Amino acid sequence: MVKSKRDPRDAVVTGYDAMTPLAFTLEGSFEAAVEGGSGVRWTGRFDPDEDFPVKVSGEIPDAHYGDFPFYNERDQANWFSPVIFSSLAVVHRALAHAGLDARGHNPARTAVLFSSAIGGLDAMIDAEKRLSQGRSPHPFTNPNGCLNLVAGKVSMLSGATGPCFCPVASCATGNVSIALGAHFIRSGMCDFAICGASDFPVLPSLLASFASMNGAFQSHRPDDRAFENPAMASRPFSRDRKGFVVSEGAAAVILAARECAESASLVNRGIVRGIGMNGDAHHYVKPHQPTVEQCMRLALKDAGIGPSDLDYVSAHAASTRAGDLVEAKALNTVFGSSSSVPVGALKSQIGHTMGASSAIEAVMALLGMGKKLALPTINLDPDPDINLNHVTDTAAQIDQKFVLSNSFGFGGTNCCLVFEREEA
Amino acid sequence: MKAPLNRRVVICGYEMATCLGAGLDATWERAVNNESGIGWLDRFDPGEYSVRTAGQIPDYDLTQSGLFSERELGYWNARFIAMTVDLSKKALEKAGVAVTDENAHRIGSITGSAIGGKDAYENALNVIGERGPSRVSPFLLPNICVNLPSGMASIKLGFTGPVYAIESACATGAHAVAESAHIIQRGDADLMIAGGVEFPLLPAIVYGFGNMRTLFRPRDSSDRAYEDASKASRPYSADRRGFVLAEGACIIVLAEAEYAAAHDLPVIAEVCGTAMNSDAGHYTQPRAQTITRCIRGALEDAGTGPDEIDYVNGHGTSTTIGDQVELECLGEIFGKGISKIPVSSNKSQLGHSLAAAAALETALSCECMKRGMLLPTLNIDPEPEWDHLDYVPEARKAQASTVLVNSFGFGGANCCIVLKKREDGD
Repeated sequence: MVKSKRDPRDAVVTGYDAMTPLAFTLEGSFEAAVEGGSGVRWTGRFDPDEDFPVKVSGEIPDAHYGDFPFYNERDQANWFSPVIFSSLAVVHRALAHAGLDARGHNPARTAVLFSSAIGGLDAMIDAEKRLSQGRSPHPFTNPNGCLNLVAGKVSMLSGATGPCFCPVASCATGNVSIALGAHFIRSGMCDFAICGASDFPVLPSLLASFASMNGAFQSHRPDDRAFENPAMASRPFSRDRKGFVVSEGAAAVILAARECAESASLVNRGIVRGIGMNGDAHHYVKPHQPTVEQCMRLALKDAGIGPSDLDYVSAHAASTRAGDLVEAKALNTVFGSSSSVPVGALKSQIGHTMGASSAIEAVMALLGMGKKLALPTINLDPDPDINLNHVTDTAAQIDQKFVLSNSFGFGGTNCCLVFEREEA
Repeated sequence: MKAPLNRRVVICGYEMATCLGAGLDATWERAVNNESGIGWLDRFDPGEYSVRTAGQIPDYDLTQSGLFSERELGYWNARFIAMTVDLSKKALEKAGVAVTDENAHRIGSITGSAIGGKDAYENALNVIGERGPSRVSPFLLPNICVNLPSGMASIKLGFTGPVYAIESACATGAHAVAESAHIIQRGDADLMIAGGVEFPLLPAIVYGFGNMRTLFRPRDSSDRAYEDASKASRPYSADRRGFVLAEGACIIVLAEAEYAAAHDLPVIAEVCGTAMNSDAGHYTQPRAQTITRCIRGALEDAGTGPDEIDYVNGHGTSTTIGDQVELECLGEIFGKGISKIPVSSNKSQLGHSLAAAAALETALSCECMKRGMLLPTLNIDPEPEWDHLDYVPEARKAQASTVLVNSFGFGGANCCIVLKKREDGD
């Protein structure tokens, strides 16, 4: 057993929040995930034509603006991209969860690294549409479409005036955001960091292009188990997996230096103990096993633990043919093929929320560590080529001290995190 | 947790493409000759729209270095990707770095773009309209991922250290340099490839900025830029009327100082201080209080007093409020000494290339130190209240050895960098 050192500059998780296709609230999302629910349904954000290639997606249900005093009707009209609203909403709730008011806790020492992979692309689409109709774009087109306004608006909401920018790493964006927040706290650049990501990619052009690159799940065959039941579409590690389901989501994580969390009596909900980041130098979408392995090893090394110390792995597993196989083989190599560490793939329940996915997975893993529950991979019909100890169907009761959360992005951008739950 | 290593970070090389020229040498030659890269917008037909000036990179052959064939450039039709890869290769060559099996995992890249692959996206929307959803390019998504330029550089050039993108609008290039320096300082890499690349001259972007009233448009036919586009970008001038949107690209190679010395890399400058913060104010209006704190933070990080700064490479975009606030902040920090410190804005010659701007300004500041020259603020006709500053009206010989580079992004993201001149073996 590893005895962890307690450093005053450890990055402590003090609060978090998420909204997912499972529910508008974190509690609702977690409860549904524990029960093995799915947030994947027939696409409702637009009406796909008969021949539109993708018909399933994960959409956040029952989003409502009323609970958020900072989002009045004028804000709703100006900041019309859902990426902006969802970012502000999860940060607002996460700060409340942390019991933190950035204005009251030295705003100059609070960093904002909250980000998005796709950003307000919907605003640009709206502008194109208006131009094609001979109308002028909405004057807030560029503020909505400018990715760094996601961080900028979070800074304005929270009053935080520390370092502020959007890190972007495709599907690994959320993890990179948390990793940089932890680095900033460790190095003393800030005392608090608002991390996480939001993405709203359920747009016709994005779904069509994910389909044309054979990334997104398409169900044309009546014998496919998702043909009449979209909840079966996202099936990481299954023998019949055929691509990811594009979903909406957002999650925020509030980090604090241990000394600041303790002096402010904030609850310690976990430590960002290990960080690994690297690049594949291989292919723009295909994963690369040696560098994926290396990334996990970097995170374990940074955490000062070995693979046998891990109690659960929250896999990246997006439900693609190549990606899931490479991740499973990399896990086998790093852990040894006799390893029985439990593995879960949250994307089986939520689909792929792009840049937000690793932030959501981090939040759900942290909440699971606190509740001693390891979330499952649903829809699993095991692939004989994949040898992992899957948590299936519903959550498993497991004490977890160390959890590894993987993320591997387009363009070969990898980021793995190790979270530690300390004894009170 | 790792102990802080406090490793020093130096700049060893850079390459660029600007509206003055398709390379550092071409850009420099025209810049010291007090030329402007601003001309009439012709990337698309703006019709009767009042914004007509822009900075456009002249012919740049992306196939020449052999990284991309014509066919590949057809797939990778978001121009910021191939440009980032091409300049990364050239910048590594200038820095004398070869990627090998030994060093590949110690080399990473952080680049950024504010507009990113929206050119490819616009193209896809046309395809959907004309030919249907099934004809959308399978390369569309990779083309619009902001981290793909660094990712493709890693793929084409073979390095496997940390690779991601940063987006902070007009401060992106500075954040990329500062974060790359942090990665090297904490020991996660020995070499980093940092910068920003921007191709923003698309109708929706130009009209969007235009309708926000941030872009230059002549008041009437008496405006000095009415018939002369080169007069449109006039930072710190009394008659400034918004920025001129420009294409631009710059990649900088940073190295750990001892690594650079051990490998005989050319050393041009040291990244001595960085600071970043946020306004938490308005989405476009700058805030003097936090900007002042950002500049002070960079000076403190460098262990440098204001009196040691001998050149300020200003953010100066040519907007009414932005330039005013920057001058107020400089006045606050430097006090009466401000009249003795040359301050100039490269945007007077290059326009505003958003995410690329701060990278270009960092590289040009290094080049100024190396060559003992200062680049001008073109078109300067200062406000009476601020006419005691030395805006460097024309390029001139001067030996700057400690330089402050300012950048303040839309959305309130600020980043300032202090550079010190170094020479090989320093």
